[in-house]
Amino acid sequence: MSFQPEEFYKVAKALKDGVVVPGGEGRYRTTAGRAYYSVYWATCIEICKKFRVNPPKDLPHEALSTKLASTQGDADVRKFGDLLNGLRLGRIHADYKMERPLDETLADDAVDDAKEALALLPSVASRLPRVDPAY
Amino acid sequence: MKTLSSTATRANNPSVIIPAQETGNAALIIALDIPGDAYVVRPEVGQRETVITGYDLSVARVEGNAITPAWSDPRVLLATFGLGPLCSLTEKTLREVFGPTARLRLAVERDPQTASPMLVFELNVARSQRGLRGQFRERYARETTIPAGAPVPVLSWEYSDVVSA
Repeated sequence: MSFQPEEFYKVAKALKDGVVVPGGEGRYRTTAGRAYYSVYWATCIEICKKFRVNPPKDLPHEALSTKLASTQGDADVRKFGDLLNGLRLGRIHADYKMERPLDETLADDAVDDAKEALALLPSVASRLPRVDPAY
Repeated sequence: MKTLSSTATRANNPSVIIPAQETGNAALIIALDIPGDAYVVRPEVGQRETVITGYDLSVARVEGNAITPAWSDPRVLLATFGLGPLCSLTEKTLREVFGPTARLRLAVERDPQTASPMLVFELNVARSQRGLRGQFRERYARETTIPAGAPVPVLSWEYSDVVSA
């Protein structure tokens, strides 16, 4: 059976009430989404800082992650891009692919990958390429 | 509005008719008399017409509309963009890190927020070896190169509960 959207409501309610979010796909999908956005926004802020876009803007998701993941000659930036790109796909699965199961291991992956990316970011921030805002 | 179906093609343009009994779908393939090895595939009534060309259409426009790729078969992507060596090296690295049971599968997925499809490298490994992902990612970033202009594969992990060799 595909994921039921009411599960997202249960997660929202539990978070708002400050109680433990029950385990299950609602929690795992929410985890994958938040993990992606933590890295996505941290990256946007660093790129905007480097290229003097103030205040920082949201950058196009696909262009951002694919540009970083195809970087040549800088393996750390590329690795960072691969992490971001994988997190982006996980977030797409979490929010749009209701028929595709998303289990706890994939939520664990999202958290681990976000942690690794956020740890790597300070060392690659000065070498991140320019990505223009969409507007 | 002018459409492909109303576009005249020269009577002497080479064309190939694929009868329905061969593929299940009848189609007329017409070589256009313009540079770029362009072909129109005119399928049965009710199906979308397609132009196939060797041009890089990433910045092209048709009557003001951007052209977006419509990949559905990852094998076509591999052949078109010369991604075979990347794919082979990725699979070799995967097996060196995770052992001979590790598998690379190609997929095409859609991001609802963008028009372009995504090429996905689905990496299937034993769940017990999940901790080796970082080692693989390190080597993948250092030892492989994405050909210029090619779609950038997204790495996606899938786990099986087999006991690793």
